[in-house]
Amino acid sequence: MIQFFNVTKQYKNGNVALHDVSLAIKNGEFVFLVGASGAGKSTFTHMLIREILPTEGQILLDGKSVVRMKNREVPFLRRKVGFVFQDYQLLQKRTVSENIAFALEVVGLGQQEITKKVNAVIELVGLVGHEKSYPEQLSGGEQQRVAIARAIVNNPPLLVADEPTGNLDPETSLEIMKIFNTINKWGTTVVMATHDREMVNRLRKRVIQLSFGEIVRDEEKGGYYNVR
Amino acid sequence: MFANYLKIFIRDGFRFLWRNKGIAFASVIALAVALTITGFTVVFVNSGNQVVEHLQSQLEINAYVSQDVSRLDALELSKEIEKMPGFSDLEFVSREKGIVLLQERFGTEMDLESTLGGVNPLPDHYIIRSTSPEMVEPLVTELRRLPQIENIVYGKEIVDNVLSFTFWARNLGMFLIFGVMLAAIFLIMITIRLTVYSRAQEIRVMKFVGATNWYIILPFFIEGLMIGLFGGLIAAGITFAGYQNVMEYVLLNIAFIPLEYDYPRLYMTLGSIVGGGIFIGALGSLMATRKYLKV
Repeated sequence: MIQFFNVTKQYKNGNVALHDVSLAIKNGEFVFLVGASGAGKSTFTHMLIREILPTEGQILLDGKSVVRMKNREVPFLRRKVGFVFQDYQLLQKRTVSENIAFALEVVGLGQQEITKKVNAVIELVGLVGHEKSYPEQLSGGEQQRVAIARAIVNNPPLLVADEPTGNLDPETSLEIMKIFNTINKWGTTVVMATHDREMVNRLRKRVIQLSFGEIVRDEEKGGYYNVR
Repeated sequence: MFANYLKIFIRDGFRFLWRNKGIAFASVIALAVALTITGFTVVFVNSGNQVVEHLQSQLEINAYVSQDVSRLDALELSKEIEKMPGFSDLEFVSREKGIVLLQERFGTEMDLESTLGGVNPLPDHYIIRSTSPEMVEPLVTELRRLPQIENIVYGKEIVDNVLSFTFWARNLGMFLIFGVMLAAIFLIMITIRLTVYSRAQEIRVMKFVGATNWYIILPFFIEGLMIGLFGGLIAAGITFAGYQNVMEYVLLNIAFIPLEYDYPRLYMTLGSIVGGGIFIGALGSLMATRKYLKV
């Protein structure tokens, strides 16, 4: 599914976010990306939707090069990769339903099909009754559910999340994590950058730890602890 | 799929407009004001040109040939006149034709021939037109040098007035239109950029869920189009009403100004105002959106 070959990213200010990273993530895996702030987690996740390009190396998604992709192909890549942000990135002027429907309108689906899919995903993330609410009327956890719903409504084979529980209390985080787990069980590959020690320790998934842009640990059913 | 997209674009265009009605309203008003000033200027210059054209058509030099000159010599004169600087065209009016034209002017109420006792007192004469009002004076000077020409009649004051009016109307008009259009485009750019800026996050999210560039641009484009259309329609309405009222006033109160309702030209101007509004709105949207597409 995801292959990184000697990927290095150096920003214009000289900061090296990733250094010579090589790895492979199989279809259907659930991977936690852990590490201190500035370890390169966000750079890694944002490379998967080609928001950031590596300065060196190659990234393949389903065998297709993300690096050599033409600009006009990028929207179609992004339709196959659901992305969940720490700060939700919801449109404040649109209702819950409209925020989720947004991702389907972009693809050009008809209204009937959109309504059907939106209703299904609202049920999945547990937001029934909130369809007509605006984001500001929701709690942080509820907003993140909307963001997840928007990310998965298109049935993307890959779901990427950048600190999705970073702004949430432990109880709400657990609820959110359960949703990710369910989605993963249905076959979607999940890559999640996180600081959430408790979640990582509880779920026991593959853990890739980054430190100063390098992989320092890659462990099946790993926990959250420091190597260096 | 295309129909689905189209529905979304039109819905979003209106939705954007409605949700940002404050800024949108300001844009419409700014555009309407700018286009109204432009409209009034164009109409004013058009009317000015109408007056100028009317006056210019009356700028004829009547050169009367001395009675001692034979018909043949009188006709030969045209060769010399045609060589003069500023000459445009001429018409030879024989004394026989002159009396017929005079009779026509008096109408049937008076029999000129019997009144004059069967004698035609009119000399042969040339009606000469110059290439431009500026050339009337030099042409007259040249004509005075011909000994065969006895008398020259032309509207000196009219020439001077036409000259200053033409200069004033055309140059000030062009200057005004240029300045106002520049200000209008500037205003629209600012307002639409503000609108787009207020939606920078929306554009960012659009990009993340896989929207293509044209998908992102089109609703903004439609919004700009509608701002332009509304601004243009308001300006056209005000210009139309203004034209009606001013013309009515001028025709009733300042009768000596040779002005007529010119609806074909007015409608062309109004059409250009609406078209210009749509163009500026759409172009402004595109220019303002481009900047935010590099997510």
